[in-house]
Amino acid sequence: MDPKRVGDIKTMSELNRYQNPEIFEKLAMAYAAGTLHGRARLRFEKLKSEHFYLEATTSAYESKFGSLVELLPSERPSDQVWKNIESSIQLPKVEEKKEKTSWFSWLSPTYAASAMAVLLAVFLVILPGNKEAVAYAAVLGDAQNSDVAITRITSDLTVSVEMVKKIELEDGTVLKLWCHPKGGGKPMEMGVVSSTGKTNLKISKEEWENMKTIGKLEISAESHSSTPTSKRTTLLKGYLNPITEE
Amino acid sequence: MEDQFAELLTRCAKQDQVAFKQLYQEASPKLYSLALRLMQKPELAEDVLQESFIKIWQKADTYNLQKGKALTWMATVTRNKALDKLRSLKLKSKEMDIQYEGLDFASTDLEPDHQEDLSQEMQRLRECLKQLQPSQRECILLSYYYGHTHQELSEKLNKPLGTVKAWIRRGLETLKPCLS
Repeated sequence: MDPKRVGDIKTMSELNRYQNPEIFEKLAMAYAAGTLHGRARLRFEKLKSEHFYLEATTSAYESKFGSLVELLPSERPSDQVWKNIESSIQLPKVEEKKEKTSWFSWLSPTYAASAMAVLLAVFLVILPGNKEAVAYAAVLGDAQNSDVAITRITSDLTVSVEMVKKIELEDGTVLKLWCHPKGGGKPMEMGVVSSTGKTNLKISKEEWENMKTIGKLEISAESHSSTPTSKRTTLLKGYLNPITEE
Repeated sequence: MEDQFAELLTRCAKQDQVAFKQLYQEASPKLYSLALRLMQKPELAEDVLQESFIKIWQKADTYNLQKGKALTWMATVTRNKALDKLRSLKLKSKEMDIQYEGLDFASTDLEPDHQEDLSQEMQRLRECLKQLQPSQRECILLSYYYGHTHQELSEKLNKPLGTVKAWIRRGLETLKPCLS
């Protein structure tokens, strides 16, 4: 028989074996307990990475056996380990971060939009603009220039949008937040926001880094399934301002 | 009991460095202890701990409560890192100076000094392990904490390979309904 075909049959029979719950559960358990070794362990790891049910079963047993770590005596590693970790992932000094977060948390979400606008203006006057932003904020107003929403984007990768006035929406439409680059170009969709109260959206680290290039935020009403090229009605807009440390 | 490590991990997923340092300070002694037993050498165990915490920081956003307690998730990360390293270094325990061995910390009756500190999950696991014969329990615990192969256990316990394999197989069979 063709050796390739023999190999295929072998793989199939192996897979069938691993699809038998009785067998794969035993193997998952042995893997998690650490009693599966050598080539069998490697083979199981490969199949586990390809089949969700194997991964999930193994993970469940790993979480059960993982409790065994609690019985171990505590042993202190050398201080160098933490220093290496810090430099490997390039953590800035923890103290700096602490100041940044506590500084921004002072801006309570319960502030009214107008108060926020005043605060922003003050900060922008007194703080030089060429420092790295610790957060961004925007007050979004409607066509009548009344302030309707406060948006804050913080270094913990959160975009919070707080509506200070409810927006009435037609059935089948949602509100979406968009970021417009300073130099023009394709806007970036940030997600759906609620027409009332506060919405928190998560952003990626890359999106956070990109915030320095964003000039304006907009909230538009559009259908849930709309795409970046779909027609949308802008309801609110406002300029995004960087907040820097003193 | 509230899972304080889970809270810290959730904050790590949001790139909170203060939380990460606190997580390291509080969890590293247990995880280092596990790495020491698997690697047998402090310098190798520290490498494993370092790599594990880098992975914990990078993968913190993949952790959720469905994956069990945060410490057990981190123990799995550490254990797998240690086994990968052992494999890549092709180290065999017989080639190393054995510095860490035995199960004194688990005690034969699985009644550690500070039982009140154990999580409910560990207490449940302990009840299941108590159902095993001492030889079955010893083989499974030595495999988990030290990564011993069947052959190594056979040599260490001075028992035939087949006997060790049977102990482990029956031990896991007894544990299965209890853990399920």
